[in-house]
Amino acid sequence: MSSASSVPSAGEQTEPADLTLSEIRKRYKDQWVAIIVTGRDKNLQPSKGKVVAEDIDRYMLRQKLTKYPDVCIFYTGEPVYPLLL
Amino acid sequence: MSGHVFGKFPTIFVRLRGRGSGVREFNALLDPGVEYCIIPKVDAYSLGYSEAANDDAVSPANNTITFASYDGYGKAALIEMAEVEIGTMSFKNVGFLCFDIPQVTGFDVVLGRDLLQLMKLEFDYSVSQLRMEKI
Repeated sequence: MSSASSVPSAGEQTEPADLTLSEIRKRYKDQWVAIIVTGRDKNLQPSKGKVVAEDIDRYMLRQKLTKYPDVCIFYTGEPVYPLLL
Repeated sequence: MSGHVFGKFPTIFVRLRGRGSGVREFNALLDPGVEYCIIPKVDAYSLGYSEAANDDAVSPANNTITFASYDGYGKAALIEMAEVEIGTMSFKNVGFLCFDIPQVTGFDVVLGRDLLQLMKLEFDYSVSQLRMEKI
């Protein structure tokens, strides 16, 4: 279930909405999301998409993606602490 | 590719094609300080690289390499990603380490020197913009 209670979970049967990436980042804040890309900008970067799965754990997310041959995955938040890679 | 706007860190969406028929697209961190590109083991596996799932320390995959990081030495399978697409640019047979970066970083794919050396890169951090050109 999505953390945003007013938003249908991507796992439910309703057709996912077509959203901009900024809308996705707002609705599914601090989660790993998988989208079907429906729009791209001039650099062919995803600009719109339909969220087909979301989870706070990226490994749990992967288990929801087996039926999607072409999917885009990203994290909608920022690291809580300063990043050292 | 020009005028690509990034956030706090320089990232770009990259499409990966492996041995299998599937495609995975990730918001990847650009890091010139990393030798190879990095992909989570589960995604390497789903793209057709079964050796990525071999965690057997006694009989590691033939393409296992040792690397050094802030965390000391580690081992990971080094695969050749069949195709990497960034915008209109395409690169064949790019080295990727199958390694799970801690997910608290918010990144799961990193583009390192093995790929970045194939392009001219311009970062303008003052306006968070990136320009990439294949050479």
